[in-house]
Amino acid sequence: MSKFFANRRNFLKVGLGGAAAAAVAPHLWIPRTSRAGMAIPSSRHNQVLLFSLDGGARTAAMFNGNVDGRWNPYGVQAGSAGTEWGVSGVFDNLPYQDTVALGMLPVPAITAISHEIAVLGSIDHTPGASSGVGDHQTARNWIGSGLAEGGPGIISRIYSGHKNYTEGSNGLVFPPAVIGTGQATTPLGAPDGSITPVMVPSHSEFVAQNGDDAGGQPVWARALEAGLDGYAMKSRSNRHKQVIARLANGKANVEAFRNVFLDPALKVETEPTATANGLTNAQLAAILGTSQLGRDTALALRFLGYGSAAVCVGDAGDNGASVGGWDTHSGEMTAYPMSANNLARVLCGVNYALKLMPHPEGGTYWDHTIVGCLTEFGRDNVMENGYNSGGGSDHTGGPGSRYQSYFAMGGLVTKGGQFFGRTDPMSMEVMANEPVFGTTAYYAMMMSVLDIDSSTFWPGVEPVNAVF
Amino acid sequence: MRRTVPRRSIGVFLAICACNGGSSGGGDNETAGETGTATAPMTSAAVDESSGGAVDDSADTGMADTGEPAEICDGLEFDNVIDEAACPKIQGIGVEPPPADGVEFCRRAFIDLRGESPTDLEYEQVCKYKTPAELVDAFMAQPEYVRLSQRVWADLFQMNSLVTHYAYIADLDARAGELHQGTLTLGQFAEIAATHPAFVGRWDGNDLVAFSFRAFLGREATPAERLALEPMWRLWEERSVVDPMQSNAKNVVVNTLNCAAPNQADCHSDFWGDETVIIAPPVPGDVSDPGPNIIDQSMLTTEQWDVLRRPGQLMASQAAFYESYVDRALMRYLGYDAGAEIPLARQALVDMMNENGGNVREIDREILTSILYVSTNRYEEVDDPDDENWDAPYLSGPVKQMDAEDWLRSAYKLAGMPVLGCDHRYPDVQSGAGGFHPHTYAVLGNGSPDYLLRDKAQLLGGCPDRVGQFRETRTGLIAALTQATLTAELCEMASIDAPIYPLSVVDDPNDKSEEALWEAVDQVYSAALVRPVLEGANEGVDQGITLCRDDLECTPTEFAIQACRLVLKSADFFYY
Repeated sequence: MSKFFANRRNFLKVGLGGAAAAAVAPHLWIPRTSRAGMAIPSSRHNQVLLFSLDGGARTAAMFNGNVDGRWNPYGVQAGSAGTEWGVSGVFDNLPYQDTVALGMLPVPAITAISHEIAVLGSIDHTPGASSGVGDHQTARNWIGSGLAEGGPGIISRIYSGHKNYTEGSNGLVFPPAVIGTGQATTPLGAPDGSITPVMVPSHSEFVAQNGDDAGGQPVWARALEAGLDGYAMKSRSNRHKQVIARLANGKANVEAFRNVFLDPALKVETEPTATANGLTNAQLAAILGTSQLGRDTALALRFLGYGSAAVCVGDAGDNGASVGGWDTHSGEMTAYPMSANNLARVLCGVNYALKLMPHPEGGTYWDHTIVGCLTEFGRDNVMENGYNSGGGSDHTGGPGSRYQSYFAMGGLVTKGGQFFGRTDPMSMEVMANEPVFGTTAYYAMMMSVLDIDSSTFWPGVEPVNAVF
Repeated sequence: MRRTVPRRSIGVFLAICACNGGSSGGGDNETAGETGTATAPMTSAAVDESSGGAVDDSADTGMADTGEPAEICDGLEFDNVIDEAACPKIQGIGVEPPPADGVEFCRRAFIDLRGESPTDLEYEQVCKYKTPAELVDAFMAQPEYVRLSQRVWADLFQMNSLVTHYAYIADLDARAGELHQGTLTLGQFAEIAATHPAFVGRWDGNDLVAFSFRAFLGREATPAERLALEPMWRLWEERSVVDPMQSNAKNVVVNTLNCAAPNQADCHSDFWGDETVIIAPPVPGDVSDPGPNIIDQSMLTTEQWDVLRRPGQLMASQAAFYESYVDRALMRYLGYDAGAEIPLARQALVDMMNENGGNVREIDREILTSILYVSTNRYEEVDDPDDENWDAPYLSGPVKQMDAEDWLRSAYKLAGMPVLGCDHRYPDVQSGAGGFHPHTYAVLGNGSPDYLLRDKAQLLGGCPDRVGQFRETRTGLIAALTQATLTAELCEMASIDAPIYPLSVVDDPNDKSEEALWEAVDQVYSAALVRPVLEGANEGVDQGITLCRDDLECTPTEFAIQACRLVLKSADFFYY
């Protein structure tokens, strides 16, 4: 399939409407923010799967491809029928064949499922502010907690606020989880008081953490240990009690979920025949690929299968860039396509796998799950060729890095293929009369899907509802 | 049920409080109260009574209207600037935190300054007869203090030979060592580090500004600052080089062509004054690469370094420069943001640095001998779910979670296993045709580094690779699961002469009496924590012992092994 490169020159030549609209956009214009109106499908039985692209991924160059070559040097290509958003030319467009050997259909490429993915092209940490966020720490505060100054992580908030955990549930409900160790990923698990979600470095390290016995311990030993830890807490100040309580809570959860940890299906790499939710680990490997991200996502699907309300999987990206991962200050030409295609491979696999996993509430996990992403910022400070002088890109908080493209996928998303929050192809400013979506509003959407009231910690923030 | 049996007499307990002159109680049969448990400051009512209002948390200014804190503090003498600065917020509101007893302080200082928890024998040999100040001085004179301080800088600079030449890293690490040995000032260190080849080889472009800010100004650079200051690093580049011990090695060079005429403005910044960092091309017009205008950093002259090190000089001249170090040191030793909690203490330390020219050892020592550090962390406070009502952290001694690497080293030592460490400079040792580059890991039979402890520590957030993983102190389900798995391995493998060898505490494998089990748990606990189980925990231990006695599968041997395991992952061991 040929790729159409939307660089500055041919963009002007074809004269897309967006450019015309941009030309008449007022110099000073305050974008309107997303408002709630339509109902968001809320249920405690829904689930969330988030991908954290660690380092500040160039999301526009993947999911908002119809922009100038400075912002997307890879061009665009056709997506499936019904796709509005610009499917980047960086993506491979052939189906993934690994499943065929297992008697399954190939996994369709992203160009074939793009109509099932909605894209929000104007995600902004600070809607209405004079400039965007360009430094890692502030951006990590935003994506970790939805607060500029940082705070309890989103996944921790879900753990402390979700009805399955606060009110109980009929079945076994595994806690929310964060898989990954990146500096932008771990803040999502920053404790909410003494509440800490499951924090797993990676699928392989999880196996080592789990051991052969999953932390088994006789009843009397647990009682003795609880006695020691209980006094350690009791004899400390309240703030120190809270810290020590995290340890004690963790130990209690080890026991509570020991049967889960003993399930060989959680050893996604080393137990290929183990089965859960209708799929063997070998099938998951074929579906998601065997990259670090693929394996970690397989573990995430296992956690979702055990009832996790939300799982965040960190993606470090390809290490070919000199700084590493998605933070492509240099070496981007090599590293970025690998990172983007690894992500696409896994997204396509998730799309495929969720539809094969029967959900205890009926239908499949596809019907009950929303899949999204997050990252510190996009990229800018680039030259005409789309890169800086080091063959990479930076993050200054200007519109190129400020307005990010986050996707939403899953059966709950009724407006798959559509694109919301268009940006000016040349300036990357949000176009007139297009909504700007706050990062916090995006998270509030995820909370609403899980039937959690987010207004207590983000007062006045309306959840994004555009994709429903 | 209360413990009635006498515990094994261990001499060390008799002298527990020797280092504090016996002022805080302590000893074998101490109760929780006798160990020097602090109590909450006077209640609101009490404060109302004495000062006519509720506790004002901003005592630096707010308490002045009553005059009382100032009056109280004026009547005291101080030999520590932090104590003096913190007085209005502590003694000034009627609190007198008891000092930590000998064991508590020994563990705290041992872990902070030597990176391990002490055994009872080490307590006897090292801590027992020293005052806190003597102990701090003794530990700061040891190489472990320098090593642990170097580790802090290695984390800040994200050292990793996967990205940077190992020799550069070794040199920058050595400079960090000189800083903490007191032979370099903080200003001199910053001047060197901000353009050290290990630093400019690690980062590119705007990130050079960003990581300089993180290391030396304690905050993120704003986008405007990054863009405006980056030109001062514009000359630095890297070139691949053949190195027999690092196949991915790159040398750091100065490319004088980057800002050669007419592009001098590319190396100019007016953000902190009119600054231009330019090395004129030695052979104008020559654009060959390699060539005479691409200068390896090892060939730079002193004069050229003087020019190139301007960014570090400017960093060191910023108002936040000393404050950044002070805040980091306070956080390192106290575990909370004491600089923000007690701004006067921070300022006192900054003033001290201004007076001593940037000697970080003196700052560390001042913190380590202050009331904030030497007080007991045992503290009575009425439970309250609202953190707005909680007492301030400086009213008791610090509680910190052991770094994963330190916890593992301690556990290995107690289990009698070889105490391996991570080489904080090199999370992943690189190699070339000539083998591995130098490192301090143990070496396996095939010549490769032994990553046993590193790999285990990484499961808990220690020994980070600094590419996709960074140092953390993890808690929660998976951390607990990991600790359960690791301690099971260690206690099964403990050697017969190990300090915590579980089977040594079982005198009679058939004796499942309450007394025998109590003695076993006390001995295991003592091996790890220097003293027997505290009285306040008796009830829980009693319950465990009773359940064991009722469980046919619980043998004294099994009891001892499990006791080893749960003590190593107990809150008492993990938090210090």
